[in-house]
Amino acid sequence: MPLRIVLKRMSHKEVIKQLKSLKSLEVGGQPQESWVLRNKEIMMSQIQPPVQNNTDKYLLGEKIYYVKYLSQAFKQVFRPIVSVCAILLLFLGYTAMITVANASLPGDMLYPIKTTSEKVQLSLTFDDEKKVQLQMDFVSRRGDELQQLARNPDDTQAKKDKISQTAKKISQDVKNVQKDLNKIVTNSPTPTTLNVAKEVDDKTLKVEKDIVNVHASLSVDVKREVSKDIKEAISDTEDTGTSALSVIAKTVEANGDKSGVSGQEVVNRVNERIKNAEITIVAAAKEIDKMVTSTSTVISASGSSTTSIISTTTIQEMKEKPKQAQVVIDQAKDLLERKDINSAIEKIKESKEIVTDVIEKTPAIDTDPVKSDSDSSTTTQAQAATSSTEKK
Amino acid sequence: MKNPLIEKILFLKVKNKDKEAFGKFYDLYISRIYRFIFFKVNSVHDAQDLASEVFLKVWQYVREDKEIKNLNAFTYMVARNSVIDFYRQKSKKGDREELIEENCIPRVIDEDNDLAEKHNLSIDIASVLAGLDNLKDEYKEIVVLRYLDELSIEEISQVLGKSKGAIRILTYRALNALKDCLKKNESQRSNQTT
Repeated sequence: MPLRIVLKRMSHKEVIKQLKSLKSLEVGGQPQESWVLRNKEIMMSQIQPPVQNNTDKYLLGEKIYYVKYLSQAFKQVFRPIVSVCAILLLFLGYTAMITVANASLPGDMLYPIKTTSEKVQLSLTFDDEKKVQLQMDFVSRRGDELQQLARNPDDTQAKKDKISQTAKKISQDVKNVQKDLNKIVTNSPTPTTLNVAKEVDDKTLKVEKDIVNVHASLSVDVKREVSKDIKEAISDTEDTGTSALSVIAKTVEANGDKSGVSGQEVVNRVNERIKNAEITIVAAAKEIDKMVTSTSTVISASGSSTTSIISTTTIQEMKEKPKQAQVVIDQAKDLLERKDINSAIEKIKESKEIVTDVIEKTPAIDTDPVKSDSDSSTTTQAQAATSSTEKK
Repeated sequence: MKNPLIEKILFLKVKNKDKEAFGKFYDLYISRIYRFIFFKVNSVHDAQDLASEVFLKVWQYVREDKEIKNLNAFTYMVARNSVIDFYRQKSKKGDREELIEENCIPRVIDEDNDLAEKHNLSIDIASVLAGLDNLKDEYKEIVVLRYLDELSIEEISQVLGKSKGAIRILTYRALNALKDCLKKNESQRSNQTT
């Protein structure tokens, strides 16, 4: 387009284009080719090679030239390459460190790096749904850490502290997951929210199983100190899981098969939770049986009458709890058969509360026989309870 | 700058007094240096003399082992100083209008093109050149370096010894000034024709 036409609405880009068009023109400062060649010939004949480039000095000069050239080449040409390599190495080192840190456990030197990198990841995730998924991944990691900590055979105070801290972290994180998921469902649910809820349901179920297994594998000594935190972790994980399950059930109830989840899938998910609750009930019943057996051993060893701290009714109450929980679970099964999903979920929660109560209280009344042997006058809660039962 | 790596190696060879490399350096830089000088002296002959002188001076510096950090910026600096010396010796200014009428327009006209289009093209070139001529030296220098010689902001900052930020501001102002000049010239021309 001619310049005069575009002048009225000319932008900087157009002016630059016009300027560049001058380049190839003599008026735009392009030298005449004949002059360029002629001038080069004259110049090359005028310029003299350096003085040292003759006789014997030439060889030495050449050597110096190459050394100098190579050192300068290294400085100027290879320096950027070296810099890039250094950055690459730093990056690889960072990645390697994060990988190693990911395998660390609470109390390890690299563990703070692991938690910091998780915090950074979370703060850099702006999508609410992805944030929930990421948080849930971290909860799963805490579950794995808990299992690895429990495998340590030394029942040191450090082990108890680490297990307590990890259980507390699980409680805190699953509460955040529940809060964030509810926020998404209330404020801005999307078609993928259901998938997030499904993921939360699946992962909480797994983490819950992990915690119950960890608790069963712990010694009485460790259990006594961590049972409260473990109970909280199980309860909070169950709450978050059932909350996610409720989200799925309500969405399916409102939208039917259009929601992308069938009614049968919801039933299957509730069934999974019922099975999990039953496993926990069995584990709790075993805990109580173990406790009763150990207290009997202690009594036969010491044979002393003791002051009652926990009454026989407490022991009886504890023994009744798994049965009560099973009754509630049976009710949940009935409700599920009648397709009353939400009430079934409520019953599962109720049963879990009963069982977690057992998990929390049983170690407190359990007794270590060896400890009692060494000091027969020591009054233990379990001894007191059992001896008073025998007197009756 | 098409390949900075090759250019860096070439500069290193020049710094190590390699005559052949200097010939290649001349091929690479002659057009840019000539253009830079040409817009300052407004004369083909003076630009040719000064450009030759610049390359000889650069070689002289190289031979004498004087420290040259950046050969590209250094060559422009030598060119700049040569022009200053030139003006000191003769306070002379060329006549670009004459050059346009005598040398340029016949060279760019392509016989196959439409006559009216050819006319517009020559007026456009004249307008841009007149606009450049009307710019103050500082602006003209920066426009030539940035858009005709296509130097980067960093390279210009090295040549002119100013910060990159200052160069960016100067470039923006120079372009605005050139735009104003072009508009002014165009309105004058349309007044004359009516």
